[in-house]
Amino acid sequence: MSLSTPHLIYILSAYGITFVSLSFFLVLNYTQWKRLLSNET
Amino acid sequence: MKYHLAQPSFFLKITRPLLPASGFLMTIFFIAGLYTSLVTSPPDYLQGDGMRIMYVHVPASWMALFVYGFLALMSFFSLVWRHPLAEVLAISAAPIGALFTALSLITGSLWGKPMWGTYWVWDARLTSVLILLFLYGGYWALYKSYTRPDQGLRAASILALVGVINLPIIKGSVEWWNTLHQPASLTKLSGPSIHVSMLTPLLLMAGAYFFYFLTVLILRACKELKTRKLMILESMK
Amino acid sequence: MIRRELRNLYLHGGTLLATFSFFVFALFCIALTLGPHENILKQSAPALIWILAILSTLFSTPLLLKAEAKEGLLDEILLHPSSPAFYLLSKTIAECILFGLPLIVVGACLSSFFLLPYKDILTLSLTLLIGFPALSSLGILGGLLTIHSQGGGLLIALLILPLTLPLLLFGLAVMEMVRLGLDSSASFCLLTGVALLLVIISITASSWALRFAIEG
Repeated sequence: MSLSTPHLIYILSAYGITFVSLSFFLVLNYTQWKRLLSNET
Repeated sequence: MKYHLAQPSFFLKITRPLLPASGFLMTIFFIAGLYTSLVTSPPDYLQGDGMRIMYVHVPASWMALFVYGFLALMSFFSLVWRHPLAEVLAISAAPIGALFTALSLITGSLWGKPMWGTYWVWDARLTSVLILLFLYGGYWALYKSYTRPDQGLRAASILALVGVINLPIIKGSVEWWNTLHQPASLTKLSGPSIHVSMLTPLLLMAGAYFFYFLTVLILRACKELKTRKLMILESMK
Repeated sequence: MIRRELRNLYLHGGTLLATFSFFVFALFCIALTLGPHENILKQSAPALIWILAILSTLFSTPLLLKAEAKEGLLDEILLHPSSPAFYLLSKTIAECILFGLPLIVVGACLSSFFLLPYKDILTLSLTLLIGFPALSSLGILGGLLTIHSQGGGLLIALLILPLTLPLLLFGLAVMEMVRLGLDSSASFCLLTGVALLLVIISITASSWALRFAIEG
């Protein structure tokens, strides 16, 4: 894919929103899980 | 009480090796999926590079439906057999499903804007996905509105089951309504034949989403199980 | 059993009256604010009347249920030898007679606000009549699901409104067909089928919910 393609902004924002929100949710759950694990031991 | 804790502890045991494995697979699939979808797959002859949005959009819609099915199945188990693990899995799965549904809607409208010229069409498929999001929202709101989580869970499970029966009816009614209003309906994937070079990234991304679901599900379920155990211990003191 | 339910509903006449006045007043406001444009009024009338009917049913039915639960009438049902589904069904029927019929009549009278022709009013009332049992049983389901929760009527609307969508769409499809002078029997059959299906589903789910609601 070349960077001069039309609609680049839409493609990038679709990928961006997907990955930002997925990783945010993952990190959120991971930290909560980690905290609980460290509390227990 | 022993029986109550026995099976969740088994779950905790088998997920200990499963969690890193699924996280690892998720990373591999995401990297491969991103590479194939953004670099190696050819642009569509009709839609150009815009159709690359499909690789993040379509798997999200699949997962939205799949997670709702999973949620309904687990709700059924928890209602009929009062299985504690099913309860935990159901409430752990719901927010992930809602996230996938929201992502599917957002990427769908970002795809629609350059292709159809508008962010939103009252198409049958779009409308039913929106309603799916409302169903997830209702499930979560009902669960959270109870002060006692076990009561809330039962009410929410019944709602999930009613929703899963109603979803096809809703889809049918919206389709019927649309044929009345706009005869030329928009179809997203043209024809059943997708070329292999496009199918590979699609399947890779679907695998990545699936392992993402698995990883987050295990994380959430472990967390939920441990909080429950702590609550039981607290109440016994 | 139906007679018992009718008496119960009659005793809670205040709630019914409040719901009626909500229905009437909301219709009046909408008709007034849309202005005297005949086309807009005519086209939007069926949808507005349907949506208001759904909303007023969804708000009033749970209120009635909560009042009954407070009086301990729901515990009585489980002691009763017959299945709770019968009780819920008779509740639905009673509500159709005491609440649905007047609502439809009032709706038909007020359609003159919207300058609807006579034939449209008749079809609208008929679709409402078919759809009302399903609405009322869905309202009962919503009420039972939220009986111990802290959320108010808004929560019920969030839960149940997506489920009423098929009724709304099929009902409006019938209206559209009649307005265009086409054969409306297909959508009529669909509306009836969906309404029956929804009654069955929600009564079954409600009898589960009832058991849970009382066991606590």
